[in-house]
Amino acid sequence: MRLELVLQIAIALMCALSAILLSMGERQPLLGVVAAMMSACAVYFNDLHGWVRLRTKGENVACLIAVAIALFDLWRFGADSQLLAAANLLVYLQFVLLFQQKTLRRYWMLALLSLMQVAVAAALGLDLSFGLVLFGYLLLSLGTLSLFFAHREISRYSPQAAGEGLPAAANWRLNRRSGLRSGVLNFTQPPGASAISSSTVGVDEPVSWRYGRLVSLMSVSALALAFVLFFLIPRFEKSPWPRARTTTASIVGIPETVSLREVGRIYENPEAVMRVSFRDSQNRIYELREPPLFRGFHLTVYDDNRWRETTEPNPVSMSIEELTGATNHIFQELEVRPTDNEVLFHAGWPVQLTSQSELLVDFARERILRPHRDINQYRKYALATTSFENGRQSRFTPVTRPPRDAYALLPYLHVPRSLTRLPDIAAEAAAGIDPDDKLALIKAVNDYLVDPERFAYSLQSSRRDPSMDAVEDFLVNNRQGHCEYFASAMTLMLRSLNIPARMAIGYKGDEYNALGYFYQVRQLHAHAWVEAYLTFDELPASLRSRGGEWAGGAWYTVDPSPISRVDEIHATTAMQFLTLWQLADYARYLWSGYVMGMDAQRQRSLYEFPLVAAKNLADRKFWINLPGEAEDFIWGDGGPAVNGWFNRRVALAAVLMAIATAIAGQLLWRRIRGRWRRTAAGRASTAPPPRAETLLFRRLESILARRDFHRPHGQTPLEYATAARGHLARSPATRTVANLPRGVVDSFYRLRFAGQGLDKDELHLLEQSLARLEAAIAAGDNPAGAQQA
Amino acid sequence: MPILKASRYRLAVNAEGWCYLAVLVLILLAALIRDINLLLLLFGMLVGPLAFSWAAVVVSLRRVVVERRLPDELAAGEPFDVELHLTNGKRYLNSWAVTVDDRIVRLDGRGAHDAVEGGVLFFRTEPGQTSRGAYRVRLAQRGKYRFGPVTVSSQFPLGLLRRSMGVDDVATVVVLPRLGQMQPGWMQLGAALTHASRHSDRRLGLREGEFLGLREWRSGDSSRWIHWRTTARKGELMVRQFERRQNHDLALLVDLWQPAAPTPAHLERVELAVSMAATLLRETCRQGGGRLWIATAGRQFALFQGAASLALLRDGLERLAVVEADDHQRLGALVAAAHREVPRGARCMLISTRPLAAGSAGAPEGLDHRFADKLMQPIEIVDVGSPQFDRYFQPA
Repeated sequence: MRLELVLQIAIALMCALSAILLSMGERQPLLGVVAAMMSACAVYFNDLHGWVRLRTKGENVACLIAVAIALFDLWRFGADSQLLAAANLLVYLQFVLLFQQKTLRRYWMLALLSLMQVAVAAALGLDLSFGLVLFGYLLLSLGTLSLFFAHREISRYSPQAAGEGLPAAANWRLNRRSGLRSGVLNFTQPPGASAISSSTVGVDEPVSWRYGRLVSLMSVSALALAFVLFFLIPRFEKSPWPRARTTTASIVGIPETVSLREVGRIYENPEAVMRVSFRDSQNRIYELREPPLFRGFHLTVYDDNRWRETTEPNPVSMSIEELTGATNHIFQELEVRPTDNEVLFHAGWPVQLTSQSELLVDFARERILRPHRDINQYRKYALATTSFENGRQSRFTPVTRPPRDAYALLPYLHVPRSLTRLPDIAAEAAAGIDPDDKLALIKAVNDYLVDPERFAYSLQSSRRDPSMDAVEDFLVNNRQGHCEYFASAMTLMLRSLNIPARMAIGYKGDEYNALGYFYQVRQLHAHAWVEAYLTFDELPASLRSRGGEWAGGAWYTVDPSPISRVDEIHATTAMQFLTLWQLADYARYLWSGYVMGMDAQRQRSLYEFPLVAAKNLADRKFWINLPGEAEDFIWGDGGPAVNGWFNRRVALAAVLMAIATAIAGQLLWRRIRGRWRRTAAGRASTAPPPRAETLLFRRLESILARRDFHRPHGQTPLEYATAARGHLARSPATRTVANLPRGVVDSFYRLRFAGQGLDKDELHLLEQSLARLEAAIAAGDNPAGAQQA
Repeated sequence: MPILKASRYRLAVNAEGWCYLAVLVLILLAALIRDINLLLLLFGMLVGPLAFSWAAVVVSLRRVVVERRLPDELAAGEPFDVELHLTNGKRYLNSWAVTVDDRIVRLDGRGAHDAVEGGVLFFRTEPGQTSRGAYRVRLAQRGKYRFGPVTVSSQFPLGLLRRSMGVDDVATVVVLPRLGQMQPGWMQLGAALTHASRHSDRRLGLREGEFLGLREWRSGDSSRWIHWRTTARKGELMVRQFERRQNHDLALLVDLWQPAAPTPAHLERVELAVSMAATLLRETCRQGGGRLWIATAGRQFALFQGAASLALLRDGLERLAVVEADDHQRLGALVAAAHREVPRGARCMLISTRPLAAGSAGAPEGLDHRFADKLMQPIEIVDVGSPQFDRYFQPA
C-alpha cells in the first residue's frame, strides 16, 4: 500500500512536471499552474480518498470535452500551431486519467502521455532553465517508472502486498494456454479448485534508500549517455528539411523612440539580450578596463517630449573592410537571443564583417542590421573593430560619411523653441570655457550634469510639470531621472552651445563573466548616452595626426549618467551571490553554445579537440614545457579574478581540497562502517546459541510460570523441582504431573553436568512430559477446557 | 534436491518496451528532420535508461542458481508450499527483481494441456547470499504432476526489457487423493456388516476364535464349551475360554465407471469414490491389524493387498492417485478378483460410481450371477451418487 501511494504521488509529480515543461515551451505559465493543481487534487481527492473519481460515463464525457477544447485551440492558434493544440490535448487527457481509478494500464498511459508532452515541449523550449527542469524530469520519471515496475511486479506476485485489493479468486494466476480467466483449472470440479498464489521476497525494497541510490545511478548514467550521444550523433551541414518554427518564443529589444513622459518605475528586466566576448587578432581574450557601450542606433529629432529618427533606412549589403581597409582588429563575438529589433548592438564601429555574418549596413542611419530576424534561436555574429585601445573603448568614432555641408548638421543642432530656459542652463554650465574648445565645452556640460549636488540618478518616476517640457523640468524643477533624462538634457544643452549632438541608444556592458570571459548583456542594461560631433580640427592632436579615416571628423561619446543601475546592484548585492550569478550565466552560455547551438561546425571543432590533444601529447615539446607551464599555472598570476579574490589559483586549491575532503570522508566512512559491522558481528558471535538442556529447563520454567510459580534467585534447579512438586500436588488437576519437573531436572543435570547425551527416545519422552505438564496446567486454569479435553 | 542450472538465455522487449521504443524513434525522427537539438538531447536521455535496463537484466541473471524444494507428500485440495531458493553467485553486485516462475502440468490425459504457473519475485538478493521464497499451491485433483521447467527472468529496473533463462530440470510428483471424514452412518453400516458376518461365522463354526484358557462355568455359558476332563479332575464345571477374533480384514472394491461422455457430475462421483477409498485406507492403516485388499476397476484393473500399515497406506494412496475411470464394464472382473483373493471373514465393500441396487441374496443387481454366487460373504454396496452417501462419507 505504501509503495502504491508513493507511486501515485510520483506519477502525479511527473505529470505536473511534464505539463510545466510544456507550459515553459509554450510560454503559457497558466497551463503549468493548472496542471500542478490538478495533479495535487488528483492525489488527494482521487487516490487518497476516492471522493472525486471518474466512472465510465464521466470519463467519456471528459474525453469529449478535452477533444472539443483541443479543437478550439486548433482554431484559435491557427494552422501554424497545430503542435500546440495537440500538446494541449495530451494535457487534457492526462487530467482525465488522473481522476480515474488507477490501474497498471492507466499508470503506464499517464507515463506515456507525460513523455509525449515532454517531447513536444523539447521542440519548443530554449532556455537553460528548461534544460534544468528537463534533467529534473528525467530523474523523476526514471524514479517513477522504477516504482511502477516494482508495483507491477509485486502486484503480479503478491497482490495483497501491493495493495491491489483484488478478489481472492484473482489472486490465483493461470497460464494463458488454459484459456480461462477465472484462475481455476477446468478439469477440477468442486470441491475446491487448483490454483497458485505466488509471493514476493523483499516487498519493501522499492521504497528503500538502496533502491533510490540505484535509480540515481541509473539517472546519472542515462544523463552521461545522453550527452555522449548528443555530441556523437552527426549534424547535417545544411538541413534538408526546414527548421522548426515556433511562434511562442519570447523576444527582447529596445523601442526606436524614447518618450520622457512615461510614468512609473522602470522595470529592470534581467532577461538576457546577448553575450559578447572580445578577442584580439591572435585570438586571445581581450580584457577591457571599463564597461563597453554597445551601440544600436541614435535618435536625432526631439519634440513633444519624444526622441525619434526621421532618416529613411537605406541598408546595403557590403563588406565594411572594403571601405576602411583597417587591419588592427579587436574581434567581438556576439551571441544574440531572439529580438524584435533588426539592429545589431555592437561596441565600436565595425571595420570588418566575417563572411558568415551576412549583415547589412545602413550608412545613412549608421546602423548594423540583421537581415533575418530569427525569433527561434540564438544567432551568432562576429565583428571586428579598431575602436579599442589599451583595454579601453575609444570615445571617438570616425565619421564614415562626412557631412556634405553645414546644412547636413542642422538636425543635430535643433533645439525646440519651447525649451526657453535650457540655453541659459547650458550657458551656465559652460561659463568660463572657450567657446571654440568644443571638447572642453562637452566636458563642462558633462561635469555639470554628473555633479551629485545638482542631479540624482533614479529609476523612480517623479512628478513632472505638465506645462513644461520634460527635459527642462528635469533641469529646473525635478532634478532626478534615469539615463534618458541625462542624455536628453546633455544632447540639447550641447546643441544650444552649437555643438552637433545626438542621443545614442544601446546597452552598457556592466556585467562581465570572468568564468566565461564574456559580457552578459541584459535588458536592464539598456542605456542612453550622447554622441557629439567634432570636426577634424576640433579633434585632439593625437587623432589629427593619424589623418585618414579621421579627416571627416568624429563622433565623441560621452555618458552623462552619474551611476549605472548595475553598479547600484553591485553595491547592494553580496559578492557570493554575484559569483553564483556569473556561474549561472556561464552555464547559460554553455547551454546556448554547446546544446542549443550545436551544429556541424561546432561538432567538428569538438571532434578536433581530442585529436589536437592527442597530437600535443605525442609532441616531445609538450612534455618538455609541461613543468614550466604547470609551475606558471600554479604560481603565476592566477588568472583574472572574480569579485577580487576568486581566481584560477583559488579554484584549483578549492578543487584539490574538495577531492582531499571527499577521499578522507570516504575513508572515514569505511572505517566507521567496518568497525560498526565488526562490532555487530562480534556481538552476534559472542552470544552462543543456548544449549539443549538450557532450553529444556527454560521451557519448564516458562510452563510453571503460568501458575505463578517462579524460581527465586539462588534456588538450584533441583530445589526448584522439589518445590514445584509440592506446589503441583496441592491441586487435583496437576497432582498427576507433580513428579514431572523432577524428571526434567534430572535430565537437565545429566546433560549439563554428567555430559551424557539423550537419545532420540529420551528426548521424545521429555518432550511428552513437558507437553503433559503444559496441558495439565492449562486444564487446571480452565476446568471447562479440561473436561472437553 | 537438485540445483537447477540455466540452459538457455533469451532477451525480449516487453509491450511497454515497444511503446517506449516507438516514442524514442519518433523523437529521433523529429529531432533530425526539424534539426532540434533539445529533442536530440531528450533522445539521448531516453536511450540511457534503455541501455541501463539491458545492462541490469544481464547482470541480475549472471551467476544465479535456483533450487526448488517440494514437500514429501502432496495431497489434493490441501495447500502446500513450494520453496524456491535463489543464490546470487556474484561477488559484488546484487541481483535485482529476479522472478522465478515454475510451471505445473498434470501428466494424465485429462489435464495435459492445462498448466498453472507459480513463482516468487526475489526483489533483491545480495552477492553471495541465498534468498528463500515460496509459492503456495492447492491442487484440487489427484494425479501425477510435473513441476518445471523453471523460468528465471528479470525486467529490472523499468520493465522495458526481459531477460530470461530456462531451466529444463523437472520433478514429477504424485498428488494423493483428497481425504475426507467417515460419518456416523458408516459406523452403523460397519456394525451391521459385523453382525451379518458373525451370523455367517457361527454357521461355519468360526465364531469362537482361538483357545485362551479355562475358567469356572458361569450362567449362560454354552454347554459345548465345557471341558469335561478338567471338570472331572477339579470337581466343578470348567469351560474353555476363547479369545474373541477381531477380524479387521477389509476388501475395498472400487468401481470407477463413467459414461463415454462424462458430465461434471460423473467426474465428481469418480473423485468422491476415490476419495472415500483413500479415506478408508487411511483409517484402516492407522488402526492397524488385519489385511487389506483394494481392487479398482476403471481404465485399468488393479488389485493390491497387504497388512494394514503406513507402508501400505503410502503405496495405496499413490495407486489410488493415478486411477482413472472408464466406460468399460469391469465390475464382473472386480467381483471375480475379490472372490479369488479375498478370504472368508473379511469385510467386503463395493464403492461404485453408479447405482447398483442390492438383491435378495445380497448380490448387486446387474452382476453376472456366476460371479455373484461365488461371493461367500455379504457385500455392502455404496453408491456415491445416492442421497444416502452423505451419511457415510464427507469429503474435506
